[in-house]
Amino acid sequence: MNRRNYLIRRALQALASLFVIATLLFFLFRWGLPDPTTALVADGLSPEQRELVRQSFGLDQPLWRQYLLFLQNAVQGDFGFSFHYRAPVADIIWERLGNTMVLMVTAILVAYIIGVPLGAWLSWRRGTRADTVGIFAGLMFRSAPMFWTGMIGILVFGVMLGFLPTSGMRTLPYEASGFFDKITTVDFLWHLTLPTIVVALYYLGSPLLIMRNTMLEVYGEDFIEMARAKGLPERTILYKHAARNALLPVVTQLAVTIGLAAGGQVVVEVVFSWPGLGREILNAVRTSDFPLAQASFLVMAAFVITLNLLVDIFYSTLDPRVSFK
Amino acid sequence: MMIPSYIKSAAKPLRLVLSDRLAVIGLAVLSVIIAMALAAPLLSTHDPNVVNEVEDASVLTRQLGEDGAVLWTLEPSLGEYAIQAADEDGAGGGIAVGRHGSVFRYGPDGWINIGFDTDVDLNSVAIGPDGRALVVGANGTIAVLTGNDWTKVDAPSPAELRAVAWIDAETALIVGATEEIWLADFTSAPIITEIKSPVGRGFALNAVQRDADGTMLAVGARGLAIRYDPAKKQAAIDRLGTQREMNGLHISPNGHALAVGERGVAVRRAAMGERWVEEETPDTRALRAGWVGDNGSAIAVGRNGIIIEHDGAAWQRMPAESERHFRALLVAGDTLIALGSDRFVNRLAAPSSAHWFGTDHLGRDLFSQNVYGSRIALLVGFLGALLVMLIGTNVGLVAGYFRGRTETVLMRTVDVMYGIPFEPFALILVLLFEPSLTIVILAVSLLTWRTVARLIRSQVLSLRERPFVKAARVAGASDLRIMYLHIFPNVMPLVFLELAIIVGVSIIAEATLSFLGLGPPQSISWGGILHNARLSGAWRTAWWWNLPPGFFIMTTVLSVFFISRSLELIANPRLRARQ
Repeated sequence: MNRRNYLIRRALQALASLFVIATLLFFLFRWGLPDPTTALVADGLSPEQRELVRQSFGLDQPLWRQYLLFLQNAVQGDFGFSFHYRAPVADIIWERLGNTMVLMVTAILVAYIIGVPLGAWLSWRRGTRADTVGIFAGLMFRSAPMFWTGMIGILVFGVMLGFLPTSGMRTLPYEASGFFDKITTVDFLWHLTLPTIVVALYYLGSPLLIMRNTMLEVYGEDFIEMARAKGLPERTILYKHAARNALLPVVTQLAVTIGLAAGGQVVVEVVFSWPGLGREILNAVRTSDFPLAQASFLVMAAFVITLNLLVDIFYSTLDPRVSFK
Repeated sequence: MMIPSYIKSAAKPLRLVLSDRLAVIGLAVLSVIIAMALAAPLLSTHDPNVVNEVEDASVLTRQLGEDGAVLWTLEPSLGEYAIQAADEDGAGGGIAVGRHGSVFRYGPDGWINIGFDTDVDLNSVAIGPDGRALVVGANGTIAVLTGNDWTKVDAPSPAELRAVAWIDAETALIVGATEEIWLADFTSAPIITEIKSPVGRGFALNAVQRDADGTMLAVGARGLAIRYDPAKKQAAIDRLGTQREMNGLHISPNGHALAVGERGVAVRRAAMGERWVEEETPDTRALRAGWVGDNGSAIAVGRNGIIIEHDGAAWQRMPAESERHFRALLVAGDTLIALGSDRFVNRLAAPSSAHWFGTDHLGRDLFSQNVYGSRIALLVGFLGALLVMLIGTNVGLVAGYFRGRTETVLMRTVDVMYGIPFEPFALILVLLFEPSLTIVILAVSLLTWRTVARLIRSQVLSLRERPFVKAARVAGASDLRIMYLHIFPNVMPLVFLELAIIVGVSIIAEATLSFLGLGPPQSISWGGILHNARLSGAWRTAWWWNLPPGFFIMTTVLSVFFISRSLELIANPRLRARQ
């Protein structure tokens, strides 16, 4: 199989996965919530209005018709109306997704920019005290739940020292005409600092340890021996020869992590009152806002699958050894 | 044959763990935490769900903030027994008495313990014109403090004496819980004379004060008021205009009078001879003591931290730093002091010898909660991991061994699983079904078996081509036999590695769900403690509330990670050469 066919096949697989998840999601919801409008009755909806809502979701039609309608709408990016916000779900989701990604991508990049060189350095100093401390710290931040480190961070920097804002993306009230207007201010960066640190510390462990372990494997390769034999300085061997070859697993991990980040970290957004997609899905669950919950989940799944696909494409480009089976 | 092969494959990882120092530490820490979970009832100092109450000799003073706002501020405690009553000495000081024979003098140097040899509950104190203090209490206790010397006075009966007030420098009136009215005469040797009550039905008399005209007024149960005239040596019924039990009475030198009682009742008399008027108060819980000045300004205190002040127009609830139960007011010169406190809910107490990790917003012991929290964490951690291994290993074995269409279907399923983000999936499960331990374990295990399945399959793929498998097949072994008796023992070390990692993942997952308030209700878990802390809003000050649970989670997961790290040598033999 050649490369093009492999990529096409891989893309079709991704699409199929998304389709299966959407289907599962639909039937899971119909099974768990046969009549989602029951949640609306508490809001004082009259039976006639309720019937209208039922019709707009096609709930009065047979199950297979509902399913087709759901798929049709999902493909067109129309996720219906949020019960809670009384606004189109799609608009809400895109905005929240942007907020989430700004925080997560920043934090993950920070973690990798620090973690990768640090991991390489630890592998060079393997067996020393620095190595042990590094591994210990990496695993420790990985083991500490983010909602806890976030709370501690707020307690120390927000409450006790009082110099970092602890909630939201901007100081309220603010006006911004659009996403980029909102995030291109110093105030935003100030709000971004604490959550970024907390998330980055959590993610720091994986590039650190992966880089260290792969470097240790690469050290055993013949070309390193060769470089040594040539009399190259250890630093050059470390960063020019070994590190480049050890980068691949780290890059893979980076893409997978970013993919999962779209919906992966509800707790951070909750702790820092960050108006992201994760917090939105939690609110949707709390308010039984099923169109919003359903759509948020689908968007997250799509994100994860896309990033996984990109990883594979990337991998096949970077490493010609990957066979297209 | 079959048992040794399993044991042998299980022994290898164990040896690896024991040869790594970090892993041994991890194993030791994990054992401690498991022991903690098993012995939780023995280790916990309190029932984790019980609201803890505490008694305390509490002192609050009235302070003005920078913005002029009034705040009744908590002062250092005087001891472990509640203060029941206080009286001022007219020179900027006073004496407070309380349960278990506690007596304190307040003066320029602050509070000094001047207790005498008794442990009965003291209910009232009165300081006479010549500075003598008369103290009364349970079991007919009467004692006089002259200078620094205590003299006990024999009582006619062991009655519960509730209140005392001086008539003049030598005589005082004492009232009791069963309508005792005793006249104490200190002209020479103390003499106690019982005065006949005009009611005689055994009603409790709770307070007594000297009125502006020299007569004595006592109040008590059912709004009863009795006036004793020292000149006629007779007691007569008076009226306050309320049916509620009255707890406190204060009369200013010019005749302003205030009586307070149950259900937030406050009745007031503007001057001698005027009518008593019931006033509206902002709270309907019991008031225990009141104070009124010559100009009519008044303060009353009661249970649950209630302090109300009358600003000339109406009663207003004042902010107090504590919700303790007040029993007495001491107006010592310019200092206004509220005293208590009976058993009150010990909310948000900092760590102490009684509560090692402090208490939460409902007064529950946090140390015990943390100890019990280990149970849910480990239960979900191990049960979830076990389920994951069961699914993952079997899927991996079957897919790797049979290959073909079976493998395609199973591995495509795994691919789909990789597209599902964990936390949102768990949230959706909880939205659709009720939060419970089962849902938490299901959410954890339904999504984590994917990694295990992939790993095991790749191992099985190479194992199935090995000579020993072929030999077994030639010998006529069935597929099941080959899979579970020949191949499985060889992937066991890998299973152990994954098991260790997934225990850690499960514990964090459970804590995350509980933190979001989606954990099993009515159960205590580390994540749940943090959820409560966040919900109550008090975590920003109560550091003892949110530090320990996270520390426990981190320690447990870290110890599991340490163990799994040593097992990585199995999965990746190339690392072995580098050690």
